[in-house]
Amino acid sequence: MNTTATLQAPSAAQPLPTTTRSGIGYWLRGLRQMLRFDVARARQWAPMMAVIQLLMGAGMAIMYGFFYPEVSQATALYIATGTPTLALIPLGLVMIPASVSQQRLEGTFDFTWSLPAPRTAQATSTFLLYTLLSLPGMILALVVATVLYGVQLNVSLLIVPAVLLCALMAISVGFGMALAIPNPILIGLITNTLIFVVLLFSPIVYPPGNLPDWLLTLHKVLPFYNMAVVIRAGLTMGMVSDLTRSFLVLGAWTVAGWAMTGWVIGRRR
Amino acid sequence: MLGYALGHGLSNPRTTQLIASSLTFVVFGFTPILFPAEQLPGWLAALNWWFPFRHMAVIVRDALAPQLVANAPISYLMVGIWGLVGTGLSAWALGRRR
Repeated sequence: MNTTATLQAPSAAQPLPTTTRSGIGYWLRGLRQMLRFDVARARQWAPMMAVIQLLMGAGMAIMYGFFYPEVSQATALYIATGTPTLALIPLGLVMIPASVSQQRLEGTFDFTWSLPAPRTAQATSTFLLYTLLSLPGMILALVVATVLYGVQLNVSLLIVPAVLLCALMAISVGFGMALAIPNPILIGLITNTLIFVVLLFSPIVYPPGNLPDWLLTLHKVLPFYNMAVVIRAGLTMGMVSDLTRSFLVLGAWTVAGWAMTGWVIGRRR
Repeated sequence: MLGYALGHGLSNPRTTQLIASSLTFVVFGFTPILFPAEQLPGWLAALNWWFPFRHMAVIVRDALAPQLVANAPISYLMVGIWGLVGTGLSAWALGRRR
């Protein structure tokens, strides 16, 4: 046996394969692959989630009518334009944190992070998937409320950026929170409290004037009331004021969500 | 006891979580606890009579503002029955898991 021959490097050695792991092309390829991965993984739970979203959307549109002995035209308008906002909130601020907590417990969270795709592409893929999942429930809530209460809406193109910004904000903050807080019990506590605060203490399906002044002042810097304002502006004419401020507040919360996400993604490298 | 039965009777934690979250939503919006039963459609008010949530509100209200409540003993009975059902289901689930 000629050991020398086996130890010598081959004279015409093949160059090592090189892959460019930077640039927009690499990032877009990573995003496409992560979307395929996320969609394939979501097949297990997405149909059930979609059904729950649809039921909750329709359910919220119906149930707020029970709280009033007589639903006046103004009340109906608040319910019809508020329930789509409520339907957008749970997926981002509740389902994403719950899903990340579940993945942490199962150990799949670290596996996903270890995949050879840029982490920003992984985060973007999650944003896109959840935004898409939140839309059917929102649309059904709007349709049910409009038909049930017989309100006349004045839909403008403003609804498109309003809905997209609201979905993006909820998902960004939910994702940032889920990544920044590693304790699943704490996450569960925060999301349950959020549901309670949003359903009862946020002026989404009732006029802001019904709240005490200090709570309304607080809501002007929290995202929930501002979500209702921008969506209501896209569905009605002359019902809201100070729209620019609401868009700015929502933008600031979205950026805060991204900052939290970016901080955690960077820290874990 | 119903919560205990739910926790022990279902093997998949995700299903338990799903049912618990749905219950919160249903109890908040579709049971006559925060508003009178007359504001619900007739069939939903009738359905609510067979579940414990409305009766829980009645017995608590009976202790705080009895003038608002009629037929409190029936509500005590219904809540008691549901408590026994929960206890039975829990005992069955725990026995099965031995």
